[in-house]
This record gives sequence, C-alpha cells and structure tokens, in this order.
Amino acid sequence: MSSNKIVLTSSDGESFEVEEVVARKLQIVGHMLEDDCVINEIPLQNVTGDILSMVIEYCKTHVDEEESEEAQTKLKTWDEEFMKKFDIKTLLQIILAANYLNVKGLLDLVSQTIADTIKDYTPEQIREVFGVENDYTEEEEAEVRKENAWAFDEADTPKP
Amino acid sequence: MKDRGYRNWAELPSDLTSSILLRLSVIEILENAQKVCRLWRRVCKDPWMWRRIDMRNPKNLGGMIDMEIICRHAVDRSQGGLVEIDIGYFGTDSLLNYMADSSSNLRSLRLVKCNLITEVVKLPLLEDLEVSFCDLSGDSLRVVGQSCPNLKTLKLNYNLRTVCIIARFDGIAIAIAIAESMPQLRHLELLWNRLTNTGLNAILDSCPHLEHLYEGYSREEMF
Repeated sequence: MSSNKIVLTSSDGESFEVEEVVARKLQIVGHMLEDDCVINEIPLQNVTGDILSMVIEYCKTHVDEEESEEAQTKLKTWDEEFMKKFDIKTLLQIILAANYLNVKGLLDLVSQTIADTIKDYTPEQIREVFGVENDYTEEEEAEVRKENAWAFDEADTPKP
Repeated sequence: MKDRGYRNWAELPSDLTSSILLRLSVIEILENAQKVCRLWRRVCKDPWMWRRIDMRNPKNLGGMIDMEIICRHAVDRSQGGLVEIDIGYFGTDSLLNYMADSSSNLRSLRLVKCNLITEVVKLPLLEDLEVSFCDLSGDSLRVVGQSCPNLKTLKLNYNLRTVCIIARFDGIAIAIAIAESMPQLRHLELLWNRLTNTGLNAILDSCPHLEHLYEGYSREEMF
C-alpha cells in the first residue's frame, strides 16, 4: 500500500493529515478515492473536528487487523479502554459519525457499548440518561406497562 | 460555530436505534426498552429485530419469569422471519412445535437442557442444530433427521450422568439414526456418545458430504 497522505477536513474546518490506508477505513472516503484517485483533500460535512479525531484514532489502531488471537485480544482491550473515555453524549455523537463515515467496526463497538449501558436501567433511567423524551400519554404508558405483564411475576394476571 | 452536540436520542436515525436495541436480550427489550417511548416501541415491534432470538435463560432469573410464554411471544413478533434461535433450560416439545408452525425460515436451532421427548417438528430449511443435555434417544433423533432434510451441521452433547444412568441411552442407535436420516451432514460433533466402530462406519458410509467429524468429551456442562 502506498504511504500517500490524505487530508480530512471536519465541518468546523479542522484538518487531519492521515495515511491513505487509515483514511480508507472510513468507507465514505474509500468510495470517494475509488471514484477519483487524485483527491488528496476530503471535506466531511457532517462531523466536527473533536469527533473526527476520535474516529481517526480508532481507525489508526484498527488499520492492520491481524488474525492472531493475541492481536485480537489486544485490540479488544484497547476498544474497551477507548470506550471508557466517553460520556453518553459523546458516544451518541460518535455513533452518528461512525454511521455517516461508514466505519462498521466502530459502529458495532459503540452500539454494543450503549446497549451494555441500557441493560442496567429501568425505562425511567434510560430516558434520563439518554435524553429520550417520554412521548406516551398516561393512558398509553399504562397500557404498555400492562402489555407483557402476564409473562413477568404478576401471578394474578391471566395468561393468554 | 454551530453546536452539533446531540443531547436527544431522537436525533439518531431509527436504524441506529435498531442497531443498538438489537443487542439487548429478549427480557431487556420486553421489560424495559419498549416502554421508553414510541420510537423505541416501534423499533422493538419490528419483525426484523426478532430474526435472531437468544433465550439461553441465564440461571439467575429464577422462577419469576415464564420463559416459555416469553419465547412464544418473541416468536410471534418475528412474524415468520425467525432465522436463528437459542433456547436454554426451558424448551419443550410444545414450544418447538409452536415455533416450527410459524417459522419455516429457521436455519439454526440450539437447544440446551430442554425437556424434549420429541415428536419433532417440521423445519424444512434448518441447517444447523445443536442439542445439548436433552437426552434424545436414537428414535427421536431419527425423527429429527426426517423432519429436517437440509441439516448440514449437527452437534449432540450428552451428559455423562445420563449416559451412565439412563437405560435407554444407546450410542449405536444414535449413530445409526444419524446415518439413516441425515445424509446431507457436513459437520458432526458428538460429545459423550461412545461412538463405536460400527456406529462410526455407518455414519461415514451414509453421509458422503461429511467434512468434519469430532467425537470426544464435553469440556464441561455449560454454554
């Protein structure tokens, strides 16, 4: 692979010079390079510099994905530590960026990290932690709560 | 400078919400996620979310939850699109029949410590089957083979105690049942099955596509 450099520019005008192999981990960039191989500066409109720098950090680390078990374990540990750095709000921004830039590994990693957080919470806590608006009416909410009650510990509810 | 901080989940496209909620367990979806808001509920009701159902039922759930009813409900939500399901500790013949009736696309079925006598169940497209610690007899296994003509991978795991104690356990009958009813097998794994040369030869003669055969001891009784 050539050590050609590509400049990626964020929506707020921050530029990052990265190796072409790293830039190609962003599939959106990969596709642009295929279409026109002389590009060396690519503007990325939907991602800010602070988030883009994190995506690039992920891509640099994952640039040679070795098959060996040892390398995989090492990457997994790195992924876990990497995710620990971010609060929920940043994770939501990273997942949007990973989706836009089309970095599948990062998309999976952040999806799993957010899912692991959701696992521990009640619906009320989920709304609070993730800023999800409760748009149910009171009646609807009562209905939703009742819906699967037959399966869980409400012994007096008749089973279907 | 424009503030692009996302504070509200509503700004995620719904396929990202799906990608996240897909990673929750069935219980977590039904108990919590679908109660959060309308969007989450819609995502949780999408049959696409239920193509793969993992109900290995961690032991610590205790008796508070009726897993079989929940599993039927999960199968209902897949609306016939179920492709892969793992069931541990609570499956019965009636559950399997219920699932088979509505899930003709099922490719992969994993049963661990389920209470099966079996009349199994027509699963015409099933390719991948694991039956662990369910003590299936040779006769039952033959019915399985006849019901699943596309079976390519079979993993059978018997419990050491069962093998020693249960009178109906007959390793040769099991081998013969495989040989006679599963000619399409590519991969076969038999754990604690005391496969004799007679059984082994029957399988090798009758399953011409077999690429991989493993016979041995199960490391431990676990997932």
